[in-house]
Formats: sequence, C-alpha cells, structure tokens
Amino acid sequence: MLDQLCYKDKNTFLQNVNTVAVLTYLAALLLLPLIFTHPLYLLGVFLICVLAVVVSDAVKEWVPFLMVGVWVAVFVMILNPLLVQNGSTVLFYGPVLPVIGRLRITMEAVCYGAVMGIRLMAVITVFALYSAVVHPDRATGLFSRFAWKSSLVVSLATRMIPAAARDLTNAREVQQMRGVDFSAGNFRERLQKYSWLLEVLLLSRAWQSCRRQ
Amino acid sequence: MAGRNYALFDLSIDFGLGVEPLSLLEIKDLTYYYSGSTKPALDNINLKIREGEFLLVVGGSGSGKSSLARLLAGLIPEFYGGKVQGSVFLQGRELKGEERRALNSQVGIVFQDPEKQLVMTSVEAEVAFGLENLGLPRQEMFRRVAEVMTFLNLAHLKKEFTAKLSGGEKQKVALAAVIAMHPRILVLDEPTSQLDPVAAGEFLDLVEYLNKELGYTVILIEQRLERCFHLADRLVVMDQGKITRSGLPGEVACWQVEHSLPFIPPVARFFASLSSPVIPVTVRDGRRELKKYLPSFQANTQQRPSLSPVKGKEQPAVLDAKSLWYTYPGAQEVIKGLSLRVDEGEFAVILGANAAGKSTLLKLLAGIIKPDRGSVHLQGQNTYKLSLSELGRHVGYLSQNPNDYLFQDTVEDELRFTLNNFKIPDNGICETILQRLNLDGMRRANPRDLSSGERQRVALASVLVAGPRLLLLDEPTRGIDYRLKAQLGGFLQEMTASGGTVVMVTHDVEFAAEYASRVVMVFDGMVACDGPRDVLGESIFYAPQMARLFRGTAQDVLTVDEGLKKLSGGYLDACQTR
Repeated sequence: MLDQLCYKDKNTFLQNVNTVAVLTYLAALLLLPLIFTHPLYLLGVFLICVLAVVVSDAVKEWVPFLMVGVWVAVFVMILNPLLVQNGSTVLFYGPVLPVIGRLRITMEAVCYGAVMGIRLMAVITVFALYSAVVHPDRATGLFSRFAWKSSLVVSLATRMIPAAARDLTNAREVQQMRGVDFSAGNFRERLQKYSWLLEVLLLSRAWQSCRRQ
Repeated sequence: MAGRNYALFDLSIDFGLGVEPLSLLEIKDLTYYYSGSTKPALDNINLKIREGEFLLVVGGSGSGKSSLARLLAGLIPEFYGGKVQGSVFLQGRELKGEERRALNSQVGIVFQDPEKQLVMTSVEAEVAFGLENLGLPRQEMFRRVAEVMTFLNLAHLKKEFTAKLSGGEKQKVALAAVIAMHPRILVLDEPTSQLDPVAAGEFLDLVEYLNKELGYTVILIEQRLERCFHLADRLVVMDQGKITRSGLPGEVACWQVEHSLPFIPPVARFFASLSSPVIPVTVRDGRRELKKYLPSFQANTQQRPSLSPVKGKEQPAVLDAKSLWYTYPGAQEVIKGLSLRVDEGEFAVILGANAAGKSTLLKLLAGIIKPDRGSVHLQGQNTYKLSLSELGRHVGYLSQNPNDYLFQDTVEDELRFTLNNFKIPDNGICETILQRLNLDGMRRANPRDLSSGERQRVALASVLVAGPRLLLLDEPTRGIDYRLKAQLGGFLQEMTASGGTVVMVTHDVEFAAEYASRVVMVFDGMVACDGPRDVLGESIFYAPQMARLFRGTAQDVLTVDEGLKKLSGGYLDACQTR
C-alpha cells in the first residue's frame, strides 16, 4: 500500500478548492470530534466526514483507513469497560482478575468506550480525507512560505516513503531467499527477524548518504 | 556551431577576434582530499573546457570521475568538505574560495540514480523547484517550466507523481529540472546506467541535441560507451584521481588499446586492434572502414534458418516454467502465459525493455512470488510445494542492490548467517566460497566498507554458500565498470562450466554477447525470442555493436574477438575460395 501515495488527481471539488480553505475545513473537522463528548454530535461529525469522503470519490482510499479504524475502535470499546472501574451504574460484576481486581462493568465505561471509538473513527476519516484531497506538494508549498527548510525536509521525507517501502520489500525477499522465514518462530524470534530488515534499511540509507565514490 | 541559441543563456560570451576562444572553465593543478582521507580523490588535475564542447570522461570505479563531476558542479568542497588546492577559472576569472559557489548557477548536474535526485512529489513541482529557489517571478517560472517540459516531451506527465514514473522518465525529469535553470554547462554523472538500451538511447539523443543545437557544454561520465563515444569532441581518461590521457576519441582509443585499457566501445576497439589508421567510433563509419579489410567483399545476403526456441531435452530441466500468468494487486497483468525451460549448464540472459516484466519473471522463477496461473518446477519440484528454506537451497537469488544483503559485521559472518538459517554445517564451504570469489583477504572486513564490486561478490557469496545449483541474477552489471564486469562474467562462466546454471536479467547486450550461451527476449510479459546467443545478431535494437558492424558480412560475430578471428582467418579464406 505504501509504495503508492494516497493522493490521486480526480478533479473533485475539495481537490480544486484553495489549499488554505481545504486545510481550514479539515482542521475544523478534526477539532470538532475532539471537543464534543456527546455520542450523537460525534456521530454527526463522523457522518459529515464520510459524506466528504464520498463526495471526494475517495471511498476506495478510505477503506484501508476504515479497516484499521474499526479494529482499533472495537479494541477501545472492549478494553475501556474492562480497565476503567469508575461509574455508578454497574451492569454486572465479573470474576476477580490479577492486577485489576474484581471486574466491574459499568454503563458509563461502556458508553465512554463507544464514544472514544466513534471519535477515533472520525479522526481517522479526517486524515484519510486529508491524504485524498490535499496534494502533498501544495501543502508543503503553502508551509514553505514561512517554514522553508522544514517543509523541504517534509517534502523529501514524503517522497522517500514509496522508495523506502520498495526497499523494504526487496530486503525482505532477499532475506527470505537466504533462509529467513518471517512467518516462523514465536513473537520474539519474529521481532528479531524484522529487526534485521530494519538494520539493512538503516545501514543502506546511512551508507548512501555518506558515500563519496 | 550553427544553430546555437544564445538567447537561452543568461550571460553572453566574449570571443576575441582572431584570438583562441577563452576556456569556459579551466581547472589548474587541482588536488582534492575528502575529509579524513589521506589519498587524494583528485590528483593534480589540469583541464580546460571550451564553450560548446562535448567532453566524455571515462575510467574505472574509484578513478575520481564522480569527484571531478562534483568539483565542476561546485559541490566540492562546498558540500562535501575536505581539503582542496589549485585554481578554478570561469571564463578566465579565477574563482577563489567562496566564489566557487558561483559554479552552481553555471553548471547543472544530473546524477546516476534517478531515484535519489528528485526532491518533490510531482513532476511539475520538481521542474519548478530549482526556479523557486532562484526566486524567479511567477510568470518567468511558468514560461520556463512549460518550455522545458514541452521540449523534453514531458508535458503529459505534468501532474504525475515522480514515484510512479519509469527510470527513463525520472532521468528526463531530473534533466528538465536542471535545464530549466539555464545552466551553461551540463555535467552528467553516468545518467544512463540504470536505464534500458532504448531509454538510454533516447536520453543520450536529447543530450546530443542540447549540445549540438542548443550549444550547451556537456561533460558526460559514462560506463556504457557504445552509445556516446561518437558524440564526444574530446575524451578524458582518469585513473586514481589523475587525468592519464585527454584527446580526440579516435586517438585516445588507439592509446587505450596500446595500454590495454577497456574504456572504448567494441567498434573502436576492433579497429584499434587492427592498427587501422582511422578509428571509426560509430557503426556507420565502421562498416565503411570494414570494407577496406574485405577486398573481395560480397554482401552475405543468405538468410540463416530462423532459430526456433530451444526445445526440451531428455533429462529433467533445472528450471521449467509453464504458462505463467502474474498480476500485481490493483495493476495490469505483468506476465502473460510465459513458458521457459532452462537446462543444466546453461547461461541464459533475459533481455527486454524496462517494465517488460523481467524482474517479476525472475522473482517468479525464484519462487519469491507465486504465479496466479501456471507452474514453476525447480529440478522437478513445484515451487508451490517447496518451503522457503528448501527454495533457498535450490536457487541463489541476487537482487539489483547488493546492499540488501549486507548487515553483518564481517564478510565471514554474512556467509555464516545464511548457513545458520539453512542449518547447514560449515564443512569448509565458507572457505571454498571465499576463495573462489577472491574474498579471503577481506573476511574480517565490514562488508559496507568494501568497494561496489567487492560488495557484490560478498552478496553473491552469501547466496552461493547454501550450495544452489541455479543462480538467478537481477541486473548485476548495473553501474559497475568493465573490469568488474569481466570478473563477474568469468565467474559465472566458470560456474556454468562446472555444472551450475545461471539465469540473468540485464540491459547490457555487450555483456550478454560476451558471456551468455542463450538469450531470451521478453516483451510485454511474453517471450518474444528465445535461442542461442546468436539471436542477438538478428535483433535490431538489442544487437551488440559488433553484430551491427558485421551485419550482412558475417552473421555470427558478436564480440571483438570473434570479429578479429573472422577477419584474420576463416572469413577472408572463405571469400577467396568463393
């Protein structure tokens, strides 16, 4: 997924609007779910975000973000009532668990988990929308007016993402052919294998940047 | 030079009447050390570059070519640091210390790797980037970007992301970004080494036009000389940071043959070896000259029977791919019903344009990716059923970039890493491989400290140590000089002679002609041509220079040695008896 940038020129309304205007709109969409705590308001903001995604013809680009978002949201919704013992309306008492103590599922914690989940989805959708409607060069071009060097670095880094993703795939394939099985072993062993990949990538980058001849 | 468009330049040029024109750029007694280095990267360089000249700089890896390019572009010592002594003159005026920065505005440089010189994410922004830094008015920027993009035929890619472009397109964008800044001198540091022959030819055509018609002074550093030798007005040979010879291409070609240096294209080498008074540097001139050596010249119009694809033999193939289809997710089909059988002891080369599916094919053959349809059998076993560790013992795969392999502290550890992964005991295999690849002297060295050729050999060793019978290589000759190519070619031939099998993807037809036993041309995911190496002679665009020289005269000449042999004995006798 990473070897292609998300932005595709589709000549949609939000893509053609002035960059400052779009960024302001997106900033507002980002701020609202952070301010609201009422689930209905949050749902409303989320729906607006979804609508903007649909209007921008970016559903396809949004889906991978959504998948990640849904899983994280579900995770938060389940974890929150389990870990947070506050709240006065107890739904039921669970068994005694080590560290946490007696499990006490309260309605407040369940609601709070749900609200956090929706908030998270809305925020993730705003970011998906950003990458689908704001051309990376236009964004950095805007910031370069007052932060020239920083935006140059950001621009260079953005451009490096597809290249780094390709390098990672290559390094992985190469190590596989040298007998490294990334799917085998326990979590610790697999972590070790991936750390080799990271090492190859970092060494290559460092080596390229100080190569002279 | 007729047709030179001076309006493109920001500065006018003074030619004194009746006086030899002033050198545009002159380097005098210049020596340069990279910081922390005791060996000079440039050693007592004296070089005069005239306005409108096309200078070709050749030399082996580490000969100081790239350092010279960086010096000319004003990057040394400004960007790279280090110690420098000597003088640089621009139009007769000495540039001292900080003033050398002025070269930046006069010289544009294009580097070897298109991937690493683009800054912005989209093509148009990339071309405008330099102009923005110059602080040009918007209207002027727009005019220059439009002009350059139209001239280089990039207008249709204006909105495209640079990450999506092909190598040739990226290199054109890099050139466009440089030309938009209106430099007077173009320094090109191996700009075609990553491109296929067609894209490389197109790029060099543009450079020729810029030089001949628009009057740019060009300094080209190249390894693949067959396409650019004839463009040069002057040839500079470098070795160990020194300019060892500079002069007319033909003259320097003779000198190189006398000193057995490899930096000349096959046609020039051929005629220089014949001690010809004239050294032609293009195939056209060479063909004219060749007639003098063939007094009873008769065009051999007899067509050879066309070569049918190599048919399967009795013993099981080392590699047998049957009607492979492959599509990358969300993209078009890359491999379309391709079949390929490779037998033991073959040295097969896969040729084809960029994006023809060559690298994908190699990965399919290696079992790294699995075909959507069709099957690949390695020594009779389907790759679908082989685990990764089994695959690695059957197939050695060498990717384009040897750095992908190297992350251990010593060369020996790299070999041991592979052995440990496959749980192979080291019964002296490390020792044998290190010796075979001439690496035993550097077993304790950090692989990252080695030269590019050595790093490639370490990567190769780390794969061969598992004892694969089949070796798959993806463009191993990219960006390495003639000497290293000869070493690699020799090693691969040795390997096939001892019963190993080699399949290699390359753009380098001269290398293929020199070392391969079989040639497979891939076009649009299908095999367009498959046969013994002689098929190269029949190809129009992929024919090596010597084949083009001898076309119609002798069909089976692909290398200089074959040409010389043909001329010294067999062919002349045959002509006389006929």
